[in-house]
Amino acid sequence: MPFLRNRNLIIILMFGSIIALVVHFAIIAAYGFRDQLPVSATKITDRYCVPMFHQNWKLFAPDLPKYDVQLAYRYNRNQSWSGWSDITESCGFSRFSKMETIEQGFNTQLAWQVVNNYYARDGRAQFDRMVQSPAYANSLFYVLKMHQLNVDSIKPDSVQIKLKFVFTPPPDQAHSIQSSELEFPVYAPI
Amino acid sequence: MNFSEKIYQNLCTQVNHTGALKIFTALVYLWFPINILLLYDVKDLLWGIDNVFYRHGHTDGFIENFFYQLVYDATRFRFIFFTHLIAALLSVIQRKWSFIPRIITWSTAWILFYAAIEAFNSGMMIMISLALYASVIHPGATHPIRILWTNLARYACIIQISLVYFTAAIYKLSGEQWLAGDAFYYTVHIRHFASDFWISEKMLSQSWILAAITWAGLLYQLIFPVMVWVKRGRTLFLIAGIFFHLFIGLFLHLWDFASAMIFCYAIFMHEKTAERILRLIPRKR
Repeated sequence: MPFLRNRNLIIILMFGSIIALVVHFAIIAAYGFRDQLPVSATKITDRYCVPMFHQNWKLFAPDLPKYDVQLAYRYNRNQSWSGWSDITESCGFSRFSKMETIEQGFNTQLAWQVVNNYYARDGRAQFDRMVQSPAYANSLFYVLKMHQLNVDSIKPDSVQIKLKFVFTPPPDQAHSIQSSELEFPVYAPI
Repeated sequence: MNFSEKIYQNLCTQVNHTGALKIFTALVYLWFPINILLLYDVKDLLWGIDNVFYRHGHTDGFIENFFYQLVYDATRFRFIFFTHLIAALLSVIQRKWSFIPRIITWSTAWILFYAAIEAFNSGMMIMISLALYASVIHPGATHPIRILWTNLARYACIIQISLVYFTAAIYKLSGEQWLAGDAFYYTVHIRHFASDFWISEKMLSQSWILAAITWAGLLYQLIFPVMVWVKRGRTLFLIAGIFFHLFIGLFLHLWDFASAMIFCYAIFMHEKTAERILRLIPRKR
């Protein structure tokens, strides 16, 4: 195509491409810091970046959780409860496996629910907000599916999950490790 | 020479760093088949009919429906999975029509990513971003427009890699643990990441080692966007970066992220080194 050899046209295209690249990276950079932007700005950056240019470069920032959290479960069949076991490890996956990465993703979401939506009323722990959250649905679905595929294909009568926290002591008290567990209400799959 | 002529000469007359670009593009697209084959054993759990994800649905729209299609319909998984694998393999070696498999690699990578988002870390995201820019790279280009896009794509890749480190460093500076030198200490207490070696009595009593690792990591990320533009000392800096990422792979078990970042560094390779490496590859006579 001879017109594509036209020098002036190429120069116009060159400056157009440079401007497009600058604008692209300006929006991408703003999207990277979307937590700090006003909603009016995130509307624009989200519209441009999701789904084709999505990025998240926090990489262990700003701070790491001061605990290790694992997801355990038990199930009931024929009116008999199993013992508690770590869902991913009991299905034969190591703690460095991709399935553990997935479990950790759910644990992070569920731990956020514990921090923000776990409360007490009349001296009793309230789970209503947490069990309505997508985080709980994700974890429960993961547990049921992993159980079905790796432990027993017959659906259990009911299932219960719990989060096991091991709190990291401050660096100057490295040996005083504390742990805590939070059992969620029993769930009966339909 | 006026301003626009200078830029024209720099961007449109010849492809810069052809050797490094050949190695870089090959490594970017090679990363995808390696990554996908490492997930082969669990592919059905990630994307199959019996996958482990509770599907909430996503925003509707023409583009969204394309990129979120595996979220809606897991029956397409094998087609998408193997198309991605074949397209990525076809993208490794530079050909005139490489743009087509490269764009397919990029789009199918997004589809697989969104359908199993909890399974992936920043390694997948940086490689998908680079796969888009690298799709227009053609080191043997002779047409001014293809030369322009190849050179601009190289800059885009460098900016994208720098943006990863810059964003991460700024977020780290906004927290407490990184500046206090405690971030690596807290990382090694998360069982998913760390080997028992790091929480042994011996290591925990040497807290300065953990603090030094934290600060070295922070410093590296902070100065990366500047150092990659400075010719003097850049090679040594990037070699240190390779060790930094090998460390992440070896001790934090994040091999997908570590290998992605190490592969990215090929774009900064000295041209003579790149040519020496390319000479080792047997060619057709």
